[in-house]
Amino acid sequence: MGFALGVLSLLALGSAHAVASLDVAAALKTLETTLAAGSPAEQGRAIFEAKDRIDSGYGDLEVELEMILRDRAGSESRRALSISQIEIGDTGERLKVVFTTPVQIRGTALLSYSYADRPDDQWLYLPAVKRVKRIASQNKSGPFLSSEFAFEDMMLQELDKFSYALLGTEACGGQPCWRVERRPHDAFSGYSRQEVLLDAATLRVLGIDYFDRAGRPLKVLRVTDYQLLGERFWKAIVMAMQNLQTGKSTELRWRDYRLASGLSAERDFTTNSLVRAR
Amino acid sequence: MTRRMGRPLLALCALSVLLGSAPVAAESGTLDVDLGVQARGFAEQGLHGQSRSQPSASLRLRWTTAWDEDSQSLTFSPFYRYDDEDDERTHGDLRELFWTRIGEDWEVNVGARQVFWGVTEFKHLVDIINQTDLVEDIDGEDKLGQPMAHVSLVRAGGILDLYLLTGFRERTFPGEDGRLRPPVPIDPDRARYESDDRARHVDAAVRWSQDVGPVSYGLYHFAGTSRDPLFTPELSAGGALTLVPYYPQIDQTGLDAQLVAGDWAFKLEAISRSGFGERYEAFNAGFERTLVSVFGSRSDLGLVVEYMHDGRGDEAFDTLFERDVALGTRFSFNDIADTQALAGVIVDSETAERVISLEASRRLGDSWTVALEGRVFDGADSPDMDAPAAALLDPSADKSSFLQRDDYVQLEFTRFF
Repeated sequence: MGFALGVLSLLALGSAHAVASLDVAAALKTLETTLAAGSPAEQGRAIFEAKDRIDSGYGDLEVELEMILRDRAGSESRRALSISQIEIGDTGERLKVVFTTPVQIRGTALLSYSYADRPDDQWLYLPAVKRVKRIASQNKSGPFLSSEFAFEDMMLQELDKFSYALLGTEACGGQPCWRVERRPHDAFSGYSRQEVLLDAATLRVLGIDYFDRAGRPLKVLRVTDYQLLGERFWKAIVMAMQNLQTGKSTELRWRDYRLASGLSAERDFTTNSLVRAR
Repeated sequence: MTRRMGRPLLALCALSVLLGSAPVAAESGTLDVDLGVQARGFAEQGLHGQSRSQPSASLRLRWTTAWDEDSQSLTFSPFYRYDDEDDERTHGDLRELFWTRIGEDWEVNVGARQVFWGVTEFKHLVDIINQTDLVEDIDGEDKLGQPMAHVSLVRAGGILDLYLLTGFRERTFPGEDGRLRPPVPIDPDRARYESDDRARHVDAAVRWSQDVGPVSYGLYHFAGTSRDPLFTPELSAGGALTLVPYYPQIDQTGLDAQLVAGDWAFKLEAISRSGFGERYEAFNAGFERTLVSVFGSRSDLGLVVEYMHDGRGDEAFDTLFERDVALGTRFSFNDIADTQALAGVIVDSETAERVISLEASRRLGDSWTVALEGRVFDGADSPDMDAPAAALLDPSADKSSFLQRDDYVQLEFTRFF
C-alpha cells in the first residue's frame, strides 16, 4: 500500500498488528526474488511494494513540521504545522494537517482520506467563517501553502496510482542505491514522471527528481537526515526541495515524531475534529 | 482615515502597543488576539445625509484551554467594535464561550458557539443556527454567538447533530447614522415575537450529514424562532416612522449537497419554510470549477456560477436575491503573502438590478493582514427622498433601491498577536 507524504516516507499502510510483526528482512528477500527475474517494470514496482510493507504497521503517528520557504533572492518565510495520520484497515489512511503559524491562518486545518482505488476525499476548515469545505482533491498539482511542495507531494500516494520502472543501480555516498522511475496515472498530476533514488539496504528515499508535464526537469528533492523510530521505521528529518525552473526552494524540518499514541479514526479524523483542531 | 478617532478607538490602538509582538501563550491555555482598523468610504452621502466615511476598529480575543488529556476544553472568544459614525455598529458580542467534552465517537458542547452549514458562495440559504451580525457586513457571514447545548454523534458513516438553542439573539441593524440601511430606520428595541416566551423560546435543530463517495450532504430540520425577521412600519413615540422587527415561529427543513468531480464541484442548497407567511421553498444551485496553475503561473483560478431562486418571487422581501444569477472568479496567487482576490456580480434576472463585489486580501509579514472590499449597487431607481415611507411601501419599487447611494470601498488592516 501507499504511504503518506508520498515518497517523503512519512506514512505507511497496512493492517497495524498483522504487519507489525513482519520481518523487514523477509520483505527484502521477497524483493530479491523479483529483482532476479522480473522486467524493469516488475522490479520497480517490487521495490515500492517492499517499501510499503516495511513502512506499514505504524498504527498512528503525530509529528510537527516546520516549512522554510526561500525565494531566489534568499528571503525567508516560515510556516508551522501539526500533522497526524492513522492507518485504516489494509487499504486506507487518514491525514490531518493543522496550521499553527503564521498566526493569520492559525486553526486552518486539512483532512484527507486516501483509498487504494479512488481519488482522495478532502476537507478544509476555515476558522474565520467556521466553515468545513469539501475540496476537489484533483487540484493536486497546486502549491501546498505556497511552498515548492505540491499538494500531491504532501498527500498520501498509493502504490497502484503509479507505474514503475527500475532504471538502474548507482552509488550514493558509498552505499548502493536504486533509481526507479514512476509515472502517475492521474491526469491531474503536475508531473509526467519522477525518478526516485532509494537506499537499497533500507529502502529509504534519498531523493526525487520531478519532471513537469512537458517532460522538463522541474524540481529536485533531497532528504538529508533520517531518524529510526520504534527500531523499525525510518522517518525523514530534513528535506530540501529545489525548483529548477524558478530558483525557489522549500526546506521541511520534521520533529517530535510520536508513534502509536492512541489516535482514533472517529475521534481524531472526522470533520468534527477539524473544527476542534485549534 | 482623516477623521478624528474616538477615544475607544485610541484605546484599542494603545492596547496593541501594550500587547507587543510576542504570541500571548500562557501555560493554562492559548490566547489569540486580532486587532482590526477599518475605514469605509462611500461614493455619495447617504439618503439621509449620512457621512461618506466610516472609520472603526475591532478587537477579538480567542482563549482556549484543554484538560483531561484534551478530552475537555473551554473556549472564550469575545468581540467588540467601535464605530465612529454608527452607534448601532459600536457593539460587542460573545462570539464563543463554551465547554467541550469529546468521547470516542461523540462530542458535547455547551455554551455560546458558532455553527455554519452550507456549500454555496454567494448566499447562505440553509445556514440557520446563528443570528447574522448584520452591522458587521451585509454578506451575512458575521454571526452572533448562539447559546446552545449540542450533541454530535459519529454513526454509520455519518454525523448526527442535535441542538437545543437556548436564548434567541436579535439581528443587529445599522442605526440612523449608519449606511447600508433602509430609508426608514429600524427600531430593534421594540422587536416583537410570535412566541410569548419572546427571546427565551427554546429552539431545536437536528441534522444528519454524510459523505458518500464524491457526494457530501447535510439534511436538517429546525423548529423555533426565525432568524430572519419580518418588519412592520410603525410610528415611534416621537412620531417618526420606523420599522419594527417581528420574529415568527418557523419550521424549516433544509438540504445542502455537493458533488466533487474532477476539478468541478456542483452545489445545491434548498429549504422549505413554514410559519413565514405561506410555506415556501427556495434554493441555490451552481458549480465551482478550479483551474490550477493558470496562464503558466502558480495561481489558481476558481470560476463560480450560482442561481438563487425564492419561490415567493417579488414577495421575498427579506432577500435581495429571489431569482438572481451570480458569477464569480476567485484568484489564489499562491504566493508567500497568500494573496487572494474574489470578484463577483449578482444580476437580477427580471429587473436591471446588479450588485458587484470585490474582496481581496494578503498577509503583510508575520502578523498583519490587509483586506480590501468593495461593493457597487446598480440598476435600481433611487427612492424618492422626500417620501421615504411611500418608497418603502411601494410594491413596484426595486428592492435594492435604498442601496443605490451606498457604493463603498472598505480597507482593513488586522494585527494578529
